[in-house]
Amino acid sequence: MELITCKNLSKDYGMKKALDNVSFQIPEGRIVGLLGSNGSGKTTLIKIMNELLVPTSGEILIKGQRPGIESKKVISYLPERTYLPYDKKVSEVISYFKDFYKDFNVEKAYKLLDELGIKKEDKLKQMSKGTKEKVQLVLVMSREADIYILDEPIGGVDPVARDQILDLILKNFKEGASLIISTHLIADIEKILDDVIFIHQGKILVNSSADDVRNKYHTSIENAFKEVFKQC
Amino acid sequence: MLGKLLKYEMKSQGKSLFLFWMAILGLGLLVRIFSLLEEVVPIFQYLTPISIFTFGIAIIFSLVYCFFLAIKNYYKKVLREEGYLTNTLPVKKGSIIFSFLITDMVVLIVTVVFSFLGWFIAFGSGSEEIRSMWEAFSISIEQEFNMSIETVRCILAGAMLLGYINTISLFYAAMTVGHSFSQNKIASSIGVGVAFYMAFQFLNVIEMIVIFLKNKMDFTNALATNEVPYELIGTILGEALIVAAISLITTYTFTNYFLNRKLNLE
Repeated sequence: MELITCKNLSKDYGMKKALDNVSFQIPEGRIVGLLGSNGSGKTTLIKIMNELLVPTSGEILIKGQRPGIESKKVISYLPERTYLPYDKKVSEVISYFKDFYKDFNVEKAYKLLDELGIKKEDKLKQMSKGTKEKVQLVLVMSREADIYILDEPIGGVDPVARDQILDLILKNFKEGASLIISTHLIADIEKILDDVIFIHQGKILVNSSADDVRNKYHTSIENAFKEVFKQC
Repeated sequence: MLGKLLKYEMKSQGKSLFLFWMAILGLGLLVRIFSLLEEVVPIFQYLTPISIFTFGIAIIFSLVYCFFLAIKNYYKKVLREEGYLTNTLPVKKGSIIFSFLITDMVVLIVTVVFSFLGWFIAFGSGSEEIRSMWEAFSISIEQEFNMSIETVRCILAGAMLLGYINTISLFYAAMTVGHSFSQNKIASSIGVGVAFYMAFQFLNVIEMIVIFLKNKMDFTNALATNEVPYELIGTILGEALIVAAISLITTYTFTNYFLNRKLNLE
């Protein structure tokens, strides 16, 4: 079954086309890499999936429905920025998520925080950017969602922490769910990907399984990515 | 879900205003203590007016801060970074707007209640002179409007509350519409706000002209002398409330539509 269906999606910012006639489908149980350089349209696409932006034309369906209340119940979304209220304690944001998301698993959240060495009494405003991002990731991965959308989850962390974060992601997403990871740090995540979508200047250049890309270009996903972009 | 949104927003605004509420009560108490001491210790004859002035400033500042907080919280939690959290909650956008408007109203009422409490602590029920003046004023109002002073108070309090929420809703609509643009969001918000304000003022003027024409009175003369015939005040107030209600519904609809269909969170 398709979890996400995107048909002829376009988004304009004035004269600039952020997305240009984008179409793809994401089935259940896949880990998809949404790969592209900065400004390629990855975040715009993700924001449309989460109803934070409205497309100029085309449509996107989440489990057969347009983005809205029902899609938000099944999508667990990690934005590319810190977005939690600074004046709150970790325990307060956990209560907040528990109140609004039926699929939020409080025990799992506290367990993950414990593993990362973050205390529930800690205040967000006293944390480093990296620690705040870890708290956000814990909140997102503690939901039993059908779709996890992570926008640049390893963008702001050091190489050692990247492995820790990827490990946390892989161990904690619900079985049968799909995971979309947007990043430009391809080498770090390519080993975990089932499918890849290469996006450049708002257009999809490649949409295929990771193995097919490796076989076609006889190299790693990162090198294939570089090769495809050289041809643009 | 509206209940949960209200819980968090009231907690947030209550936390921000708690110190102001306590300051009002504290300063009220200080005024009372200084007033009692000024008969015994001469220095308090100078300190009492200062404490009354500070008490007054604290009340005014608290009321202004209520308004500022209402605007700031909406901007921060819906249109800025925290909007990524608020706008991805599985709740209706209408509920989000309602939760802000209801909280703003409740917080204002609580602040007014604390102001009255502070006043009562500071001055008690007032001197005999003030009480008799108030009674005389109440009787004249009752005779003029042919209704009890309690009813007049309720109508005035309702009108002020409607005016307050209407203004906040206008700010929400202006910010939300302005932020749907890709560039110059703040300037666009100001422009939209001015446009809304002008439109509702225009509606008010039209309504005034209609009232004057209906009563066969000269509107241009009223404009020139800046005086409204006394017998029309009730009608004009009633019509102004209707315009305020229309304005509130319109701005709410705009905010809801733009959050649902034109959200442009960057």
